[in-house]
Amino acid sequence: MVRMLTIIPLLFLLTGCWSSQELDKSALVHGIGLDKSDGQLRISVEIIKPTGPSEQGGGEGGGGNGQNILLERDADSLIQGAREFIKDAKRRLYFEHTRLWVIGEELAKDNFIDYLDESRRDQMFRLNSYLFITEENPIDILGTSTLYEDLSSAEIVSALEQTQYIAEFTSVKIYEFYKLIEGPIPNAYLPIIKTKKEKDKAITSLDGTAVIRNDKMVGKLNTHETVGLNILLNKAKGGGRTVSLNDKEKVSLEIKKSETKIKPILNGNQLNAHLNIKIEGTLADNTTKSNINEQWISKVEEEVSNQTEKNVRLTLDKLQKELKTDISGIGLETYRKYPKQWQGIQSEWNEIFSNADIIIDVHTNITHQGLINKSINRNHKKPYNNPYKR
Amino acid sequence: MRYLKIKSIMQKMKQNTKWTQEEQFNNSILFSSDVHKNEEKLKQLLDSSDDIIFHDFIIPLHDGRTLKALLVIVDGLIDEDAIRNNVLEPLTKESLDSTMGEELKQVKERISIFNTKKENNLEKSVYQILKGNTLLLLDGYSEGLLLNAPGYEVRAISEPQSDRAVRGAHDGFIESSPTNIALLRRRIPHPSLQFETIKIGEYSQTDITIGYVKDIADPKLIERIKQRLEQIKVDEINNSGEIEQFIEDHPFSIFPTIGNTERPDKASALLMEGRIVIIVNGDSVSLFVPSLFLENIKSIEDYSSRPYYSSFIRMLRFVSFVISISLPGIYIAAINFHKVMIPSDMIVPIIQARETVPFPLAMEIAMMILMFEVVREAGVRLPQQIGSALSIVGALILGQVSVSAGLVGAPTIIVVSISYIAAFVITPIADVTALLRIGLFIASSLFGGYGLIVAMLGLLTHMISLTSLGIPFMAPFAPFYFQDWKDSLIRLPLRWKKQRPKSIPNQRKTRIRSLPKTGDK
Repeated sequence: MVRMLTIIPLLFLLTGCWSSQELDKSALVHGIGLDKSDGQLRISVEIIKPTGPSEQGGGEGGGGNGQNILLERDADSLIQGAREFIKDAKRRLYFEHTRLWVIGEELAKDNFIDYLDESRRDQMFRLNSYLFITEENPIDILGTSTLYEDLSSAEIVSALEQTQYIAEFTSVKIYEFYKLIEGPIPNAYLPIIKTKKEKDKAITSLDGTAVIRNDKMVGKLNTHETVGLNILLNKAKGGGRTVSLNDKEKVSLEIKKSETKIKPILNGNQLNAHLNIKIEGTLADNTTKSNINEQWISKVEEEVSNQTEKNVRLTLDKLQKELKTDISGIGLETYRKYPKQWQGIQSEWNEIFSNADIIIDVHTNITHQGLINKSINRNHKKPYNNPYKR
Repeated sequence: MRYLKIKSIMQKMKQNTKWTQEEQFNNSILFSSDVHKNEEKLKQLLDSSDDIIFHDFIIPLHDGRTLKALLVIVDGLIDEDAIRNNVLEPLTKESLDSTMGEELKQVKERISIFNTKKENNLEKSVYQILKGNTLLLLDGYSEGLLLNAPGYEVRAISEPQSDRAVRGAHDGFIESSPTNIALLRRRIPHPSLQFETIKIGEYSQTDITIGYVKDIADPKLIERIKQRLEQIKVDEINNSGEIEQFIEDHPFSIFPTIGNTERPDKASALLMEGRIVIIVNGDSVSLFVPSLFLENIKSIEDYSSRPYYSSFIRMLRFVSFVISISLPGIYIAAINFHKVMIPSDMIVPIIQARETVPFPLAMEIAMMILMFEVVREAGVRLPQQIGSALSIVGALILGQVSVSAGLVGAPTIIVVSISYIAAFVITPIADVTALLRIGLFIASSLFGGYGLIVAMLGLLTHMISLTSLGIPFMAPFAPFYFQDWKDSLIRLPLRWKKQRPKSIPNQRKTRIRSLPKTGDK
């Protein structure tokens, strides 16, 4: 007993690796930017400023809102850069709270996936952090001033978590990205982020989607096409849709439910796909003067269906004709339906997709028209008994 | 000197302790028939201590003769009025009509005190006198009369300081065990409720009374407690806590495996569950065995409030226990070892609070825990008038100034405070939580979450290994008695608790035989 009691405390002294790290001796990275620079990797990081906002502003990257430190450095690899940052940051960098990765377009068109390897290999990185592509310098995205949060990274991430109310952008986490890349079709899509002038300061804004074919970015979809992509991917669970009945009259629909079913039929190398899109929504905004009745509603439903079809067709056209890249989910559905034939056609899938005949069938259902039935009636009725009129 | 002599008497007791204690003085000094010789011997034995009063008086006899008599009492232990009115007055005012050799019988008849008995053993009488009996000796008789008319000051029955209840009885045990026994007897006026008394402590002669309901309690358990109590050979018992530590199964554990209460209503409820109550004379806290871990999260009030709220409160108490012991540990493990555990939005204020603190986090927490313990201990012992000053100083220095001075981070104060406040929810083991908190904090400051988990597993193993007088401490969870779960972390409606808990061994299983039907019919 006594021997045990002496041995056990002594064992504690034998431990060599001390994984304890004081918080005030660590630099916690919230956002990482990667870009290319002369064959090397340019890494920029956004670190929480521990002392809170002050007059001096950010680090050498400059700008920001005083809550963050921005550092930039060229390195051969991510981990080498992380270690070399200690020289600049004077503290060891911790990537456990990294929630944002911004990849410069130049790197995205090159071998950015190779550089991302460490994000899965090291236990320090979060696989549920978000990936972005930017046309600008990544450090500019990390350095934009924020509206609410302390850090631009945190604000961009919190914006993504509100996507259910808007179908105009895609959000992709690292593990989702890898799931796409390592799936049967090695194509992926990533949201594009850019800075926007708002009065005199720059704020970040999401704009379109980058299309990645075989590990490299090949093109982009604009915001409108992104909506079509979201419908194709069965990810447009919400958001509003405005349709014009004629030149002046517009009706908005609030989408409650949107379901896309893909039925591919493969004949040799000819693909016929049938898209069945079901939209359920409520009437959100009626700028017309017409009152609501069955007839009118079915007219609006038809119009919504038409517009949605056009929207999806636009996206598909771009993917098929211009980019020749399938990120639409048709490929995955085909793979599931024809697993045997898939082996033979996998290598030329993007070609098959480009030549595919795709039929789009949209069915819209307006479940209710909100709290009022009638619009304001401009032709007021005359009062029955006007006391001033004999 | 006097103590030494009594010690020699008690040594004989020691060899042959019996619950009735009748045959201890077989070979000791007997009374002689001469009252003066008896007086001398008594004075010798008692070493003429100042608080012992020898009162000589003369009993007039019918035929003109007189009879010398001696009254021996301890000052302050006797109801003087009763002795004066019921003993001295009837014996001295009127002459005694009796023949030679019949006087003692006559005297006994004339004295109007309930509990009188003849005693021929002088040594035993000494000990009875010191316990508050009055000895009456008559010249010419080698027997004395022991009159039981104790009259000492006792505290009035009042609400206990600990274990308070809003809804429920407001009386509490006091320091006198006859009163405490009466409080229990009033609640269970059934012949099956039995009390047995043993005297423990050679000097203190403390009355230890065990109470149990004979029809319900397990006879093996009663026997075990009796045996353990008999084996205690000590000089003194000062309070119930000493008895607790002498008879418990695991005296080196940090968990108490014998419960205590100041509430007679709780004690009687426990008796009816088949438990045994140990009342220690001179202590207002009574013990009960077996006491399981769950006792600490139960309150007698749970049974009088609605089952839903009671269940909620019980779960809250348990969660508080876990929070109380582990929160500082989790905090340091999250910050120093597993930074990914902290929500990203929360880390910014934590970092900013940590930045100004000059100490390592472990030292910061250790300082806070130490200071909270100091304030708590000071608050417990201090008179109330100074207490309010202390709380102001404590709140100001610990809470406000140390943060603004940059000595301690605000999150640390929040964590340590929550941990302490949570401990106050489970007062019966607040002392245990204080130690466990420090233990778990050290484990996780050295080894992070890994250390915390290993330490908690060790704690759990220890808790499961504990027994209370042979009854598993963690019942009904380990061993697994599912039927007892209805009165554990949750309390189901009383209607469904038809059986006594299986965790406590008992002889009478059913406690509810029939109840009115539910509904309005």
